Amino acid sequence: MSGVNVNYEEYDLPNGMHVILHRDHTLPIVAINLWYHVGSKNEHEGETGFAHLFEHMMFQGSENVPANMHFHHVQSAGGTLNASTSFDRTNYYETLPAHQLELGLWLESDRMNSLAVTEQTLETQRNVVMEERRSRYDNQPYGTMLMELFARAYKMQPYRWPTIGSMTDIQSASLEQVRAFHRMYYRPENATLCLAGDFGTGTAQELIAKYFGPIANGDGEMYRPFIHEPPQTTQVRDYVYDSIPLPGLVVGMHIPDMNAPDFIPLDILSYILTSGESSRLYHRFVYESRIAQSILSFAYDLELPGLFIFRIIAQQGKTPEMLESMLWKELEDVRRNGVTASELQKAKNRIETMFVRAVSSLQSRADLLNSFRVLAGDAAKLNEHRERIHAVTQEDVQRAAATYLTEHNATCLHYLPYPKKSSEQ
Amino acid sequence: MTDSRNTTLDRSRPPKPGVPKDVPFPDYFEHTMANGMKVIVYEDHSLPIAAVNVVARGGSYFDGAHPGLASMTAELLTKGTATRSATDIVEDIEFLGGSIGSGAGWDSMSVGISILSRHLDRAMEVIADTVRQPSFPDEEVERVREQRLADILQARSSPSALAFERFSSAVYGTHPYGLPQDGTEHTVAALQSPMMHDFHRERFTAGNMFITAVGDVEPERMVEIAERLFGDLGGEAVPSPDGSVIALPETRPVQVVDRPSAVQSSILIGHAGIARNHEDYIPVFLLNMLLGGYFGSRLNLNLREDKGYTYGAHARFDARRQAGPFAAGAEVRNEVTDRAIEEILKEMEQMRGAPVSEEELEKVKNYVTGSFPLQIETAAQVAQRIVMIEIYGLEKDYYTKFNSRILALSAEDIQRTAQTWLHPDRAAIVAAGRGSLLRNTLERFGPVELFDAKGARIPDVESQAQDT
Repeated sequence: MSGVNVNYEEYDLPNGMHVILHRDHTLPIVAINLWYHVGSKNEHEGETGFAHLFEHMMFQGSENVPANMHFHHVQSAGGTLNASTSFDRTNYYETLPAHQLELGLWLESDRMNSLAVTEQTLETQRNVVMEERRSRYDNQPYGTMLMELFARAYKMQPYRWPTIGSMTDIQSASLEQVRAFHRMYYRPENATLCLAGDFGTGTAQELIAKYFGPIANGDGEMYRPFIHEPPQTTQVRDYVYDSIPLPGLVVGMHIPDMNAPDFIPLDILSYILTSGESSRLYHRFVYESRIAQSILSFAYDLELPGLFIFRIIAQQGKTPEMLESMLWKELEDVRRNGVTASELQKAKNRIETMFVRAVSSLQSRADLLNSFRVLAGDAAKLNEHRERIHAVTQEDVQRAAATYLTEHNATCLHYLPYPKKSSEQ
Repeated sequence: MTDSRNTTLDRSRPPKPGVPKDVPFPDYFEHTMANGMKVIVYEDHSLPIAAVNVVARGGSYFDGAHPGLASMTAELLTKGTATRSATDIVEDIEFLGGSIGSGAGWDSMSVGISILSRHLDRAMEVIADTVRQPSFPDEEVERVREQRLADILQARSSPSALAFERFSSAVYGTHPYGLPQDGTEHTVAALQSPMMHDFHRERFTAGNMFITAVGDVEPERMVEIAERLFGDLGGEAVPSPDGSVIALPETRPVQVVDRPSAVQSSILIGHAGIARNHEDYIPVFLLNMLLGGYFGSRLNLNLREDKGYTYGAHARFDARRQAGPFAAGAEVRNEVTDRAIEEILKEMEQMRGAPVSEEELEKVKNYVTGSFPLQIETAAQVAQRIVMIEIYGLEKDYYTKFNSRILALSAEDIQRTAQTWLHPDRAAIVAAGRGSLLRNTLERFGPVELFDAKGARIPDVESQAQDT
């Protein structure tokens, strides 16, 4: 193994905010990466999309930073920035020239400390988010595949609605809800700040204490759903019509959460099956039999139990039935005969190279440290991850396939083009 | 820490910045072999990984009567050689944890790998084989053709792809930039292995190629590898496209691609832009940044943050060997399509009509010059810029001088640049969206021509009826 190690130190502020510092003086740049442990899974039915809409509102003004001035300050300082929301967490990040570190801390702490939003900025962002939903999902071929899959695979877990939310719910979000959400979840004890790059440890600690130390925690207990689906005993199937030229197949099987022992063998299995043109299923579906135009699979790493997902688009003239029957045949083979030593070694080699690529930028290093801290409970797991990958055996992979990649555990959706009207033929 | 909690902190003003450090564009090593092939190495040993690209000058611009030829030739380089099958090639590289890819741009074709540096020698042998003796086997040609025909079909349901294809055709007509780089259904169907052999033979010559290696690799090691694998290769440089000017139309076309089920319109507005090695490129770059190049740009603040019409509005000069397209655009909900177009045209006009304020100019300059170190953070980012220098014949110190040239621009320079390079009155207006709605609402910008997803004109039944 290549021995790439990400060094860091970490501590808590007295108000409970966790801090991770990773120093690297190669270039005078600093990455600020702030995670709040809240995502769409903390929402309730009827209020879907709220965590993500709220993320937009975090750019709409705080006590000392008027609407849109957050962008203005960062970009005027030569920085880049963004934010994202997932099922489990929300992150905010800036990459700045090193001499502007304090500016970034001032900005992030001001919007953790206070929010100054108005009915008008909320109305605009509701519209922006509805356009985001159209651009990325509704108006995008196959854009709804994952949300349709999750809606059917889960009956109870709060992953059954998409992070972007429903149009109706987005429209009905109120200013009072925005403020309450901020008080509830955007508190220091629910946040982890990671700095990566060119700074002195002492200076960084002083500045962080100065800006984040005085922020108090709100009252009330945060809603942290710990809901597990009952085991699925029979297959779920459905058909979705979409404006697409080629039919597709999306399949999801229930798997354990990202921290469970079986997760890593499943992750490795997805590399063996579909990562790269020499992978087993790419070779069978796309290269050899040519029944698919593309295939991908992944073990979704989530805090609550997730899904192992296959997404396959048919080649012209091929049907979802053909894709599905070949998929079951191939999975039967994995369950029965396992994977070869060479396939396993290749997957490990690819994961190692991808890891090295992933840590090549400061911002992604900071995001990885936060990810392991917030979702896996300990940033140290970032550096242990390699060893855990290395330890996986052929037997582990076969057992994981036999346990989870089964027909009764699957939700299968066939995506079909709208039937043609006679005038279009 | 107790101290800071008890002190009342004044948050009302942004803190003063520290002292900035200068970040020069990194120096890199160059060596020209006896046969004319150049080897460029940028060393960065912070991670045990290396990326190598073997690049030939000239790309899709030279497709001639066979649109899609450069792109398909490049893809097939890694799909079989005299001694290796497609499966051998990908299996070899992927087993080592690496990835291999090949492709064509408008002005170059290349094969590239990214791999842990300890495997570099073995990977380079595979790369050299794909570049020197690709076999373009018929079976692989058919396989790639089938994939590409399916891709073309797929693109017909992508609003942004439909808008861009129509836009390119409206702006460039029969010029090579008017057709898709990956070709059309007809041209892809006609591509054959012998054409690819010829295209490859003409361009992958020693005098027309260069190698860039970045990351965990020493110049001596790379030169030794290159001499061993490419030293005996011959052949001259091939001429590049000239800098000929592309005429703008006298009137502006208004074209709609009909997507009956669309819930948004994908809008593109623009015209032929600037050549990459034109002396005005840097002022044009800054002008575009102000108009639609970053979050704080006029288009995004207007269409997204003020009006809420879109998730994001943008503008871009895609500079190529000849004047590539300038396009401003956004994806907006159906009902506001005409208003969004009006705002985009207004913002273009505004850049010509009045100088930008000093505050706005300073902000964009700070953004461009301040974020420069972020653009050269990884070895791969540095490599991209070195390739630009080579392909477009820029000065070796182009990126070293970049920031000072940006800082020297005045508000008057920007306005003058806008008057030369932005032409809202002669810009093509293209929208992919619901034809029945757009045909009426877009009339006020000019006569609307309607097209289907395959690019065929849809006759305007109503106006025909009125004419007769």
